[in-house]
Amino acid sequence: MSEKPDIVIRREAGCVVVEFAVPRISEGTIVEAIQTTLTQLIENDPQQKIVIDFQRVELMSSATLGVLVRFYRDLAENGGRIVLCGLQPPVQKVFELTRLDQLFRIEKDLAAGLSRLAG
Amino acid sequence: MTENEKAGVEIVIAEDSRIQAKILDRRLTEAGHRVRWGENGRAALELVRQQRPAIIVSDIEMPTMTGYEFCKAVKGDPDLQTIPFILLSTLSDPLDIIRGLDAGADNYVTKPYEPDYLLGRIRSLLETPLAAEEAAESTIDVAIAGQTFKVKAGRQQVLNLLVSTFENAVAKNQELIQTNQDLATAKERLERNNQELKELNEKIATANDQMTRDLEAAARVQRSLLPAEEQLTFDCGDVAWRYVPCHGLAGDFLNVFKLDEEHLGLFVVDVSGHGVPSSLLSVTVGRFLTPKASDSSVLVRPGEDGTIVVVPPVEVATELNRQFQSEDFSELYFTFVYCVVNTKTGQVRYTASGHPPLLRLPAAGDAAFQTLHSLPIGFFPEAEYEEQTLQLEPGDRLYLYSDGVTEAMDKDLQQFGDDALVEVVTLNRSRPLDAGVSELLETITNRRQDCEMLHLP
Repeated sequence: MSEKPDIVIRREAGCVVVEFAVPRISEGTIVEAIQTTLTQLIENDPQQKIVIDFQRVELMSSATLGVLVRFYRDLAENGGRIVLCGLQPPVQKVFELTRLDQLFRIEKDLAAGLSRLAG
Repeated sequence: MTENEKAGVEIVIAEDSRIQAKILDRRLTEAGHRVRWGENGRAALELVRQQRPAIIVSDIEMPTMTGYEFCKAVKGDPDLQTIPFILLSTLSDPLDIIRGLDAGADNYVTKPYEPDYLLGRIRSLLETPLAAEEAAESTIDVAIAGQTFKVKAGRQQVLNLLVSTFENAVAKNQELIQTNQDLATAKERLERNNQELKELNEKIATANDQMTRDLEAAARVQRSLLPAEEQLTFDCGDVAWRYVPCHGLAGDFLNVFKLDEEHLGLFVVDVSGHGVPSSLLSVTVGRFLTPKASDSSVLVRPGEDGTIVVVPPVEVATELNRQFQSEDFSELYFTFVYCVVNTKTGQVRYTASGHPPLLRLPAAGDAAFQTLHSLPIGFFPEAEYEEQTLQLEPGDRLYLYSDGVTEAMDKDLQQFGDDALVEVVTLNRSRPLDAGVSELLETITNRRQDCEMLHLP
């Protein structure tokens, strides 16, 4: 695979950082890829601390919300924690509109997200 | 065994390949013969001189005295010349026959040979012994391929050689016939496979047609969820709508209808995803969103004395969320905006569940979004929904739409956006409602094809 991955996963400060490295998350393969990735993370360790970095995402479809909400539920049930960070205004708007900004902990950037989970 | 012993004779073989020699040895021994082996012409000639065999079988290509040279040596020796000599040849060249004749060979067997065939040759040579006086009888000049060969051969020898050549040709011919038959069988099989493939393709095409018809039927069912006319007139005002699914089967739909004598209901539903699962869910949801007071309707319920009770929008959203948890519907969820308009007073009670906000355009003044944040339907069973109220005055317009309008993208991936929506509806405020909706749709269609909307004056 010489292509740049759409989803980058790395460990940082005791957390798993999931970076969506694509400008547009619409429907289809990328949403499926996110679902697969997140499901695997839960299966590996349902109690981990996870930061999802949206810094490079300019647009996100509503189909992605379903995947994120399910991930949140599965993680919360097992004692894991999740923080979203780096939401661009259009993405932030989708979260506000669906009131999911009340559900997810959302931080300005990755550093803030990591320190939120450090406690 | 007795017959074998009886028929068994002394045989000398010349063969440089140890493996070939062993195979030949075993075959001949099994047939009752006694075999001695020389690994080239010279060694075999020694064996022949030590003790005269009844027959000689020799390969041609060998180091230290070839088969031809070996044969010539045998046939040139008056004591040995009547020993029948079989050459194992590939017979790939007509000159091989001449060379064999020239060397005085009695018979050819082509390699690779059938053991039974070779044994047959040996038997027939033993049955027609060569007469000594005939062996070196005459000399024939043969010119072939620009070379002249002096062939010293007896009639019996020439005859044997010709017969063996002919038999070889017949054997080759039979091989060819067999090959042809194999080819014909293979061809038949190929044709049969082709036919099967063709039938399979036809089946797939038929299944495809069936699926296309089913999808078209599903799209028609979905259309039936929409109002019959794109322009509707009620005593309180006009409604205009457009519906453009971005895929053949969408999860979006809308409707507008009288709930009772005093109330008009309007909604837009946007099911996540697209295709068959989303459209199936939208049809199911549609059965709940009916103005007919029935068991399934969540919009109205029968009151006392045959009256109809209009369910408040917030209760509608809460009930839908109770009925349609996404876990039970393949993780599908939907957003929902619902207005109940009092046709006498112009009061609008509305709820929005994760749906883009209503846009209100007053008769005079700036357009304003009626933002109401709440969770989509289906995420959490315990979700709470809100309801708000606004007052419509004569000449006001109210827009309901899906995110297909504001998120419609142009080729540079720029979204249509809230500002453009406000701009287009404001520009068209003095035009008739339906014309304004058409204009808005056209503007968006030039970007991307998915929108639906409703106007209310």
